[in-house]
Amino acid sequence: MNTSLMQSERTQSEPTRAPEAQERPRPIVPAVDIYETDASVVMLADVPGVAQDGVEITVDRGTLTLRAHNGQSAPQGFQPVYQEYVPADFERQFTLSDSIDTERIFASTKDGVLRVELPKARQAVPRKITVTRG
Amino acid sequence: MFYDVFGPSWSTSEMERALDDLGRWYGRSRRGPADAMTPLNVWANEEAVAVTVEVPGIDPDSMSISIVGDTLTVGGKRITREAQKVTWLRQERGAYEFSRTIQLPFRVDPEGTEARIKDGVLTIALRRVESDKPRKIAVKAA
Repeated sequence: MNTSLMQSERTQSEPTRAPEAQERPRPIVPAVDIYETDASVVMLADVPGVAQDGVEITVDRGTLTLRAHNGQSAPQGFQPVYQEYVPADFERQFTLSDSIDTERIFASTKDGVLRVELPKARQAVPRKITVTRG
Repeated sequence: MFYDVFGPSWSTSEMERALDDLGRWYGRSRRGPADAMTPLNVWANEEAVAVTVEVPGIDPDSMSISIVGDTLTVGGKRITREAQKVTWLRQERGAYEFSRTIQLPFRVDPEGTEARIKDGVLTIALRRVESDKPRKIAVKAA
């Protein structure tokens, strides 16, 4: 009886993450806003702790991968007392439409918000055609 | 039979994993009340306490910090200002307002408080009240 109880307890308390994953927390999927204008698609992502040079954006076969390094570190000479969050890097992937000009993607960060501007390819930008009376 | 609903069909770890996956899926948008989406960490040593708060996109001018005894209150607001003529493809962030109140491990001196914001992370450093600091009592031989 005792043995089975022990076993069930062990199963219950089994960590949901592998030990190595706890040392280096899994990347967080950042919340994003995406909107479209006539000329481009703009993406905003919440990435607290990420500096401008900590952002890496790669485009491969229509897939955009966003990786952002979290530069937050523990205040020196302090011990943690209470923790609600564990700083982790950010990672998220998106599928791009053919209409994006991948050569001109531009990204910047401000106050922990990443802004990625994805300009549309020239042929994808709607043009106004004036109809003249013949 | 209704108690079957609450039966042990899900173990704690399964539930935790499911919630964890849900959280990862929504990222930081696993947000019920606005306060839950503004997580903070508290750090301390014998002389001071430091509080870090994740506040992405929050205008530093909208932030307010107040200290009463050993109670700290932090608040702020995020406003979204985007051009009117846009087509939204995805909206997970949005505008919000938060206010967090926490009890610090000891009384702090409001005069000795410093706050700075970097890359959307607010760090507040608070100095312990002098009279509240631990003192070493020398033991004298009688």
